[in-house]
Amino acid sequence: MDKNKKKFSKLYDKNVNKIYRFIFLKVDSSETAEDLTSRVFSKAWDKFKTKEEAKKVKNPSAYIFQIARSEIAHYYRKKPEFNIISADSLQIADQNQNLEQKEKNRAEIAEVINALRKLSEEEQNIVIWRYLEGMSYKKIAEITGKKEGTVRVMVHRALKSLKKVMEEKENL
Amino acid sequence: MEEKDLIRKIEKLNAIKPREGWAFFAKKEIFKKKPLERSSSLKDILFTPIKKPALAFAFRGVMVLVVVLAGAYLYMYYLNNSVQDMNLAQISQENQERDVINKSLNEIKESLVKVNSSLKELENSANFKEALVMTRVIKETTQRSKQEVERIKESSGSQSYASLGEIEDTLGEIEKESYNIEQEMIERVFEDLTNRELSEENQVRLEKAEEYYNEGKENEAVILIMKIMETPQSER
Repeated sequence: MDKNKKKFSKLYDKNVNKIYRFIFLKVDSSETAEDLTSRVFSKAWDKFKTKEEAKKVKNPSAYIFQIARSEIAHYYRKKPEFNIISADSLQIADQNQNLEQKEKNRAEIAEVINALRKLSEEEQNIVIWRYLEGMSYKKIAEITGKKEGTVRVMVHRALKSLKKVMEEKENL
Repeated sequence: MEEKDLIRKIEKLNAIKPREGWAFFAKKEIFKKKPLERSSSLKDILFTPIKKPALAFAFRGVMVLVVVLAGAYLYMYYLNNSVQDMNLAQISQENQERDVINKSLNEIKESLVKVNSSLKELENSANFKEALVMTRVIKETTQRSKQEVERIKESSGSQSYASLGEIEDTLGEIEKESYNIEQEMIERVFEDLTNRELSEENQVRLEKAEEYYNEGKENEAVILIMKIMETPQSER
């Protein structure tokens, strides 16, 4: 395996689940999420397969998330409506739980996804990157092209919005 | 709700993962992808204008064949991967999907029959260059189609499709037929060119082409023949 391929393979392994998750949280099905994830990495590989082009990318993970954002935007240009996700449609990792526990987990996950989808696209991204993927403010700033201080404020506001949506749902 | 509880709930989304094995196969597919730019000779072959209706028809047939085969393969891949989560409702859906596969395979068969009959018309074509180009495209497509059929067979596992065997046979026939036609065409071109007065450069090319042909190197022979034929009549 050549050096570039090996490097990209590592990058892929490190990020594939993150990108899949990021996309899945915004689309209707796991099939669509897989399809878009493949596209994202195909586009990334087109860039990273030549040494010269790869050198131009300062933060490869951030670059891949940027491609993912543009693929999602492209997907919604064709299919503008957002569907409510059901617990049954979730493809989640088996954590050796019993059936009852699994169902409870699925329901909670579906609840968070549906609440997340009520936020603006930017707020969704911020919450996912910060609290799900554990990214630093600096890295989020790199992806969004915003200042680190601005990102901090945005993270705080996004979490507040999500809390509000979830509480409203609980009170219904 | 406390912020801590909310964050804990968000973290649960980490359990969302693609199907087991998908990431591995997707990576393989990405690396398998061919670069967009191809060699100029292949580009020339594919974009050579096709003026004769028989050739255009054959070309369309080949394109339809490629699209249908690729579709059938992807469908098989999808079916194979969804077997794990099967339930009764899905079984009936799968039966319908199998019908679709069979239908696609029948379409492939029909396209092949059409390509085959168009191929026979190529034998009588007076335009050697176009006919040779077309024969080469068909040969290449047939080889690729055979690989696709192999992949469909592999993906289908224990499921077997009667039409796959027939398709393989027809592909074999077309491959043989296109090979024979190509040979006949090359020999006719040699005969034609030998009776002409050629420039010194083209005479060397012709001799080299005959040499290659006799050694069984048709590809090289065709390249040289094309080179001679590209020279305007007055300068040949």
